Amino acid sequence: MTPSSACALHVADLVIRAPAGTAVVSKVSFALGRGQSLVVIGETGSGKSLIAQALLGLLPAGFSAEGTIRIGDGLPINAGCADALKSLWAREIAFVPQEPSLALDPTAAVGRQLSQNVSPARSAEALAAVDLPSDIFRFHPFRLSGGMAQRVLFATALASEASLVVADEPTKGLDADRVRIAIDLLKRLLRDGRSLFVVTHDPAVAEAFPQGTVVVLHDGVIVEAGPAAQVLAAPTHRYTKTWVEAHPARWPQLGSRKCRMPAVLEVSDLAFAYRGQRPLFERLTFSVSRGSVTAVVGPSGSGKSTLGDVVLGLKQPSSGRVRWGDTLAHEDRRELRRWRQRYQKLHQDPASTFLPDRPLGRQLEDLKEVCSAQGFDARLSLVLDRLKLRKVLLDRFADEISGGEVQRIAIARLLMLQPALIVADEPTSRLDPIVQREVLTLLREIVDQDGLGLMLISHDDALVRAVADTTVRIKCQNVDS
Amino acid sequence: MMASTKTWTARRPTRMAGILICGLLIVAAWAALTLDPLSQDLMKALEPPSLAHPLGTDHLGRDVLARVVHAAPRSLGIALVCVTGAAGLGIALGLVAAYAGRLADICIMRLCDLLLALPGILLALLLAGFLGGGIIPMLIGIKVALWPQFTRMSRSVALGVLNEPHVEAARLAGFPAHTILLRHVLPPVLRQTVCLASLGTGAAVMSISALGFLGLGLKPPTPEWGSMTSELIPYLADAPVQMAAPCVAIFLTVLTVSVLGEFVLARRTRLPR
Repeated sequence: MTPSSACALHVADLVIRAPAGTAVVSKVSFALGRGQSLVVIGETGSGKSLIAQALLGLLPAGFSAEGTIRIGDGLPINAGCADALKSLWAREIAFVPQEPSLALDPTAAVGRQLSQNVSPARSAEALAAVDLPSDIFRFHPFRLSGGMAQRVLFATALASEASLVVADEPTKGLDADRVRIAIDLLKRLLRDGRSLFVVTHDPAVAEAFPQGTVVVLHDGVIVEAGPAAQVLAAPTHRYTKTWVEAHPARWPQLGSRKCRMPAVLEVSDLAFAYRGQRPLFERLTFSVSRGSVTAVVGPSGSGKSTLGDVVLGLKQPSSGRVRWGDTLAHEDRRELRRWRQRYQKLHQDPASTFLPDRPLGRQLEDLKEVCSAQGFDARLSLVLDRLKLRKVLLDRFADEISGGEVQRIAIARLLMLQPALIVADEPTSRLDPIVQREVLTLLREIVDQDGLGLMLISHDDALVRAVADTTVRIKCQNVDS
Repeated sequence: MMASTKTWTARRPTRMAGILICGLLIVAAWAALTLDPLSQDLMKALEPPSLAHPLGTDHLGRDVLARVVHAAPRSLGIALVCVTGAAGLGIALGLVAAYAGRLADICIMRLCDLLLALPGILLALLLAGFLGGGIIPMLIGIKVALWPQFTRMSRSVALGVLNEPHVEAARLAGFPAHTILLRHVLPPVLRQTVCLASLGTGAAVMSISALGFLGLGLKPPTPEWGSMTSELIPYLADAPVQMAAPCVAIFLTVLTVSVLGEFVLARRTRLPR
């Protein structure tokens, strides 16, 4: 097997430098066989997305690349030569972007977007190959559901002649069903004879291609590479081991103790509908007691986040009752204000819950305005120690520290308010598996030690099984696909 | 941090040029303050620039440089008072409309629509005339004509910001409405309205002249950029420099206000990446 005929992609000594000149990715080499798959895994910020961007000649402004890239039977290209790489788009290399709803042009019908470079017959074929009816051809993107938009994007890759398909985090932020669709579509590309280069932090994607190669990237260096089945089953490097262990299915059972504590939240017969629409959910009854975790699961669009907002008093339910301890949350405004601070929310994207242009420490100190200033500083440093947050982080801005750190600072802010209930809305879906495990273990500890209630909204069944004591399942009432 | 340092160095040449131009203008103005802006000499009407009259003379033989310089505090002062007043009122109402619920929103925005439906200058004219002419009625008239655009813009920016998670987090933490508006909503609103305000300054200068022309603002011999421009329109072919001088002054004012505004905001907040 000579590399020249069997290689779809050959990368040698790729170095990617940040604007400051430091190497973010150093001397990375790998090869991808024709019709094979190569999955790059690694922590957020390890430079794995940069590699995908470098292959496409799409590095962010200020970044530079060195090394050689050879795609298919072509000549080796200098990685710093972005224009040469761009000239291969659609002919040799195709790209499946991350966010399907943003990647389609909202002003043009799907057919027109698909047939830009190829004949309509070929794009119709590609649509059929991803199980979409031919009507879609005339649709504008706003008529597509998220799953359909995703299929259309894969169809563009299928319609092109490119032998190499690059996918950057194809499952980021998707619920379990959509993840399955995405993996299925990736496999279809492989069956079609394309070669796949996938960058992901999702274990499900890595495990979906046992025949392919897995490359583990840590701090910009390849720490382990080999056949996927072997690497994932018997990892040798320390980082890979932690990564594999971090899959929620492998967590030890963190929850489900039986002792009964008073409820901090009781929901009875709750329903919510947007005006003039079918209800998102009806007849929901459940409770969250002190020191317990109740999970809310359901497909996307089923109203999980809305349920969180109703429970927190941010949205008015159509019918039913929400009881905070002894208080009826939606009926007594004065009581609601009194208990307001003790019912808190942990958001999906922690960086967006902080002001972008105010140092994080200042934003924590702002809390003095709303809770007792007495002993505030002492309490704050206790909380920070407990969450293992270094003081230097507090001088930074929210977009300057890692996702896991911002999420811990967000938790610190909640703890300063001494909450009775935290509604965590997909708190880790944007974090890589290792950080996800850290954050959820921490949350579980806090729940057990402080005796507060946690309502965990998630789409990940394995994660819920590991963390939650009880589970509320919302069925999908009005989703078409 | 890297990105911001880079932007700062990249901007430095412009800033140096700006400081230089400002310095030159101040020196020129200092010299010209000794000249009389009102003395007429009809024999020397519409003379091209010379050593005695660096920017030439107007149709009544008055020195244009002296008039431009003497007009500066008046035109600038009135325009800035109008714009800051209008922006303050407009932004405050815009924030209230975005935050305070449907009723307040409907009342404020319909009032805006009503005022925006009338041509701005007509409204200023009506109000200034109704209030009896003079400087204060003129200020009020121009302000009333200017604020609705600030309200429209700040409301739409504020509505977007109010949906962001950091506002929700602040609400849940129990921060009062004024803190949320001032700390979370106002900075992005200001960032968007600075440009509107600098354009408004130019518009205000022109409104002053229009009202002056109709006898409702400053009376004719008083030097003032807007009226200088309109007085010289008939002589455009004979006296292009004299006509251009007040226009350039207005242009520089608008430019300075927008650069200054952005500079102040960049110091207070972080530069966009």
